[in-house]
Amino acid sequence: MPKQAMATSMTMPTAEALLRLLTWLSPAFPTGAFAYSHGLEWAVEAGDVTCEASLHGWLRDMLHHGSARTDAILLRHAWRAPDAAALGQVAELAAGCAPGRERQAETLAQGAAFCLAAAAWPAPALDGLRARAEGRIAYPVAVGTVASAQRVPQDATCQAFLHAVVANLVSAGVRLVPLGQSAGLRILAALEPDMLQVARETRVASLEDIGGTCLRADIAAMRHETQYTRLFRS
Amino acid sequence: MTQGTLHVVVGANALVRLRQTGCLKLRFPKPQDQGWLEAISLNNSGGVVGGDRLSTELHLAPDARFVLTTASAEKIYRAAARARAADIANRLCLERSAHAEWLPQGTILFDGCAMRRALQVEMVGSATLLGVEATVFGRIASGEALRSICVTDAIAIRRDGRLILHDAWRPPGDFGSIQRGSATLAGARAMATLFHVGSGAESCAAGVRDILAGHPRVEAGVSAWDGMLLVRLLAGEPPDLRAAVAALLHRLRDGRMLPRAWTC
Repeated sequence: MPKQAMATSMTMPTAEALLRLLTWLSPAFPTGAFAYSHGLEWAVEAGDVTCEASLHGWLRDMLHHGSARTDAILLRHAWRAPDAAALGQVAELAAGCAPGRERQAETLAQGAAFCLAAAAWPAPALDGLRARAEGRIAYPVAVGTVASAQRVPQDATCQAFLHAVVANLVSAGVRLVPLGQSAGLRILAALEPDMLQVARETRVASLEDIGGTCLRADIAAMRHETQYTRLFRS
Repeated sequence: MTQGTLHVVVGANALVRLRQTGCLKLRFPKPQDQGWLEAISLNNSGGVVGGDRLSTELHLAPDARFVLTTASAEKIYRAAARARAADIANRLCLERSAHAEWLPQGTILFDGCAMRRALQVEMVGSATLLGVEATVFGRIASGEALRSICVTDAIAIRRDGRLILHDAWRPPGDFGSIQRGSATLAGARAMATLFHVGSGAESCAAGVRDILAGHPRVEAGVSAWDGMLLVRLLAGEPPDLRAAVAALLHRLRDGRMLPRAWTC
């Protein structure tokens, strides 16, 4: 079979894939994402994020050098895991990558909620993983596994996932700083090329390529644990 | 290009086996603490260049107590053009009720260096691990800043077969372009990661936060979960970072003195 034809037979037609991604990665999909700020709440409190420009810079670094890039790699490896053992390894790595209690709770709680909510779209690999991983399925692993089972293309899933993560944090930032809705949307528009670049660069990344240097974002999420007044769970 | 290997097996009361080859050597100072074996690792080549291969393997038998430190901070020199990254592979294996302290005196990255380092720990649930990795960005005393490096530094800890932490520092090659970002390093010139795994590790978090409150020139985060404690520290000046790390180690080692190599 020619390569082009094979690729088409392995993924679903674009229109159906688009609808599913819109559903799964919509803010209305019940993952509870709105409750997590990924340390942004501390960054606002500490004066690191105070305006449109600083929120934009914080999120751009997180995309290129932080957890968003790592999650994109994990999602891609979950999507293309050849068997249950490989998928189990990706899931274990994803749970271990979180640098702190709230960051781990954030990704595992969203992963668990995504698994439940996505039950309307059967994914046998996810059922097997849920039995073996004792509920420790990080959010990008859950999304990648369901998308793969439903033959939704990997690139589009990765792009949509990055968009959902960034949009959620823009929304958190708009509430926390606070900023106007148009400022938030300007940030989202400005970050489009960054999301596409990270999606493109992670296409060939191995699990060894995981890692980053957003140490102050990590510290912010750690300090959030003892923040006095909190709206968010991370 | 140099090679060096250390292979150490420690028993409950004594060294069981030591094999050392190439540039790595182990020295045993007079022990400071009853029941603990202390060793200092030396790199006779004077530093690390591109293409070097160093490996240290420690195996702690049941009930062994072992402290490993280094004679000084390890320098990672500028790599020659087209040289492969230096490869530093460290492995710790902790059996039942073993205590390991992994306390090297830090790493100084020179501009243009290339290094891939991994610390892999396999431990059982009854063992205890305390470790720290500190890194200085450039030869600060000579006014050098890091512009371009190729570095990956990963810590992976597996307890009872399950990966509980995978912490990989992987800055982009054009380090100078990201050092000032507020989510990345905000201009910090030194960082440290401290990790502690064991039955009492989580309960140390509050005391560690109290100590850090007395080090205002160090920015730090503390988190405890899943039977471990993780501390990230950043500082503009390496001596400030070292003072904070020393204070934390003093606390987490129940007041025992730091290895002599740290204080001279």
